[in-house]
Amino acid sequence: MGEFTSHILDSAPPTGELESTNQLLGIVVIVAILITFFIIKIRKINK
Amino acid sequence: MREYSFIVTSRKNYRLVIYSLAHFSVDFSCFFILFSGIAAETTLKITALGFLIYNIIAFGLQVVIGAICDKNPKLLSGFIGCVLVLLGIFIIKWYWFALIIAAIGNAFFHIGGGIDVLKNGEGKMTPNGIFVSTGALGVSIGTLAGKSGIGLVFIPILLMILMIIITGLISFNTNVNKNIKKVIPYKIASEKSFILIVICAFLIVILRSYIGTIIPVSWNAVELLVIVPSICAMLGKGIGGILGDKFGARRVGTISLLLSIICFIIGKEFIYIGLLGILLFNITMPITLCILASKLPNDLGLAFGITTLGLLIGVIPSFFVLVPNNFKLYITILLIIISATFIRIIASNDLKK
Repeated sequence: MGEFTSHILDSAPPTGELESTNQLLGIVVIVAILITFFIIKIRKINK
Repeated sequence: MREYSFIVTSRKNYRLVIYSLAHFSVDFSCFFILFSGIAAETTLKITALGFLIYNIIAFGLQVVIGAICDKNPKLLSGFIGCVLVLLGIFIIKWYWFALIIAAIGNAFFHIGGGIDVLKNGEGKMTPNGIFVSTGALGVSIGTLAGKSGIGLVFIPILLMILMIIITGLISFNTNVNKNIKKVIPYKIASEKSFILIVICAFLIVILRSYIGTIIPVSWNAVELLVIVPSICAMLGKGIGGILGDKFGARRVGTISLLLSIICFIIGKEFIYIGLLGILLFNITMPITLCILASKLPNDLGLAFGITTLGLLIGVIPSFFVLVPNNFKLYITILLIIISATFIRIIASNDLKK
């Protein structure tokens, strides 16, 4: 699954290749939405 | 009665074998698309972006799909995933669409397979370790096959057709599903609070994913060793479940992580020790999954999705930041110690009889 591919496998895409602030911002927004979803679900289950 | 339980157990075993083979095939096919399409046709930066988009869809979506599958247990997520991945291969000429469709298929498959294996795991980590282990090999062999060119496209096509047939057979065969009467709960988590355990397990996965991208090895450029680290990762995940069931999750998780530190320190120079470090480092994978399953017995899809969301978050920094080689070992040691501390807090040593 992806956790080892970026570093250990020589043939995998190299890392540190993306520098764009917009790309980073977009990813942060997507991940924030996913984390919010996860937190809402967990809080609901914990009630 | 004994005969009946033997039949049920053997059916559960072949479901595990089928889903493990399908896991290999799905990851193989997705990486074949990435490398024979995007990597072959575009620049390094675009390839890295494609890889990141793939990770976001394939890993990030699983938490949502997992929650949907928990609400709709009849959704044939594993089967749907295999069909989508095959569709992705058929449209490989339009490689961006192919990658997105295959990544969605990958997310569906992982949740479908993950829920099935967790449900049939009888509260043990071993089956889950076996299921998650085969993906690492699929990734590396798929990468190699993809780099060899589009000419090998018949391999993922044949693999996925076969997987659609066999996952379809077990998904639609209601007689098999009827035999799975009772899901045995997981009891891997400690007595600590629900929120603390879920958050710590999530953080362990994030740290493991991030450490995986910065492990200080100097020998990864050797061409012959491309597959060997992923075989070690696969073995680690597989063995992790077996050892966890035999000696207790907390004991095995903590000791393996601490031993992996020693291996990474020595393994920078000695290749076999470094490979052993990778094996030991991966042992906690089925443990964290089953800890989450212990606390979310009625939301196994969500439990599986939380681990893949952690994988995604952990891998993101590596796309934007390059850690100087001098610091890699120190950061690795620090983060592994934090992970081992978390494992010690949230895992129990209860042994399943």
